Amino acid sequence: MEEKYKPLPWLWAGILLSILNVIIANVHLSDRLIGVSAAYPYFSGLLAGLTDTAYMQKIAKSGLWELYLLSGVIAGAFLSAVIRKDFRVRLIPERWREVKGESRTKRIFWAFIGGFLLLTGARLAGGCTSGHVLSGGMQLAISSLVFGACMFISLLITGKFFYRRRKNA
Amino acid sequence: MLKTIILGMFFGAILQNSRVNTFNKIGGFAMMKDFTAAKVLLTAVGAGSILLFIEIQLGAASLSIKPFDVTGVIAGGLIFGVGMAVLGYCPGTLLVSIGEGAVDAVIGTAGGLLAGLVYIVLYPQIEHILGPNLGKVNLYTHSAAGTALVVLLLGALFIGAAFYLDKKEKNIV
Repeated sequence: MEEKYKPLPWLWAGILLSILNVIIANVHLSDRLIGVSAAYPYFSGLLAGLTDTAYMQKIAKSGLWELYLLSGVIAGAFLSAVIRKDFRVRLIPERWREVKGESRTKRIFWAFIGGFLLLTGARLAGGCTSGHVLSGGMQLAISSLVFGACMFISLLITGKFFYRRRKNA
Repeated sequence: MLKTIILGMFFGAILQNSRVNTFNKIGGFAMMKDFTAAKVLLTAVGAGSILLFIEIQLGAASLSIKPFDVTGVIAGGLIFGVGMAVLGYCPGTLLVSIGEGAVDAVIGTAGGLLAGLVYIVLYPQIEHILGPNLGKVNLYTHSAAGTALVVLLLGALFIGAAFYLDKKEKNIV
């Protein structure tokens, strides 16, 4: 992790995210809270020409807004990464390599499976780390607090088994 | 549209600057080696719950609670956690990581887009098993003073939990 600049401390990151979300929530700005995961089926549905299906109708409004937001996210992250000199094309993250090794096929396979499960779960629950945990958590919504608890438990249990180091490796 | 894109740029830049978008932080949390992701989320939820309550009291924002579909939320949360551990990103941080050149995040996004397509197609069959729907409920009480107390207590609890994890983390590394 050869970073040129120090990262923004976690406390500041958390506070800035909460301020940004409250600004977005303002009736004079977006009058809604940050959400991300509806953009995935929305984008797929647009590409596949499924706009008249029940689910696409259901997420039509949030899907489009989130798609705009995510276009900004990629652009903002890219600019920030260039300024911070973090931009680097790479496939295998350091911590993955430490446990799982150099295999490209392995990383590609699990990244795809992981992404598939991630969005399947998000759509079943109606939100993800952004819409449920961050925005729903801020509203002390029951659905979001339950989602957050399930997510953290499942993440840590999966991590414990999936990233277990082989003793003789 | 332009307004939303600009807001998204701030969202992406904050996440990128904190490095919480990276596999090393999120996968690292699944490995229990790095608590940054949990600390950032707990702080944002804690501070945000207090700020949002004030904003709502001022009449400048309203709640938009997601319905509690019991099966969907619990099953979804559990499946989501498995995906997040294996992939090492969540739906928002995937896009932040693409922005800084992570090719595995591009592949994860492709997996997510396929899942979105499958969900659209299967939704008519899935819709009725997501419930029972317990409604759009949160922990606000009927009085503003009661809610203020709940918000302050839970807000402090979430932020306190972040500091606790920060202390624990220093003993691991």
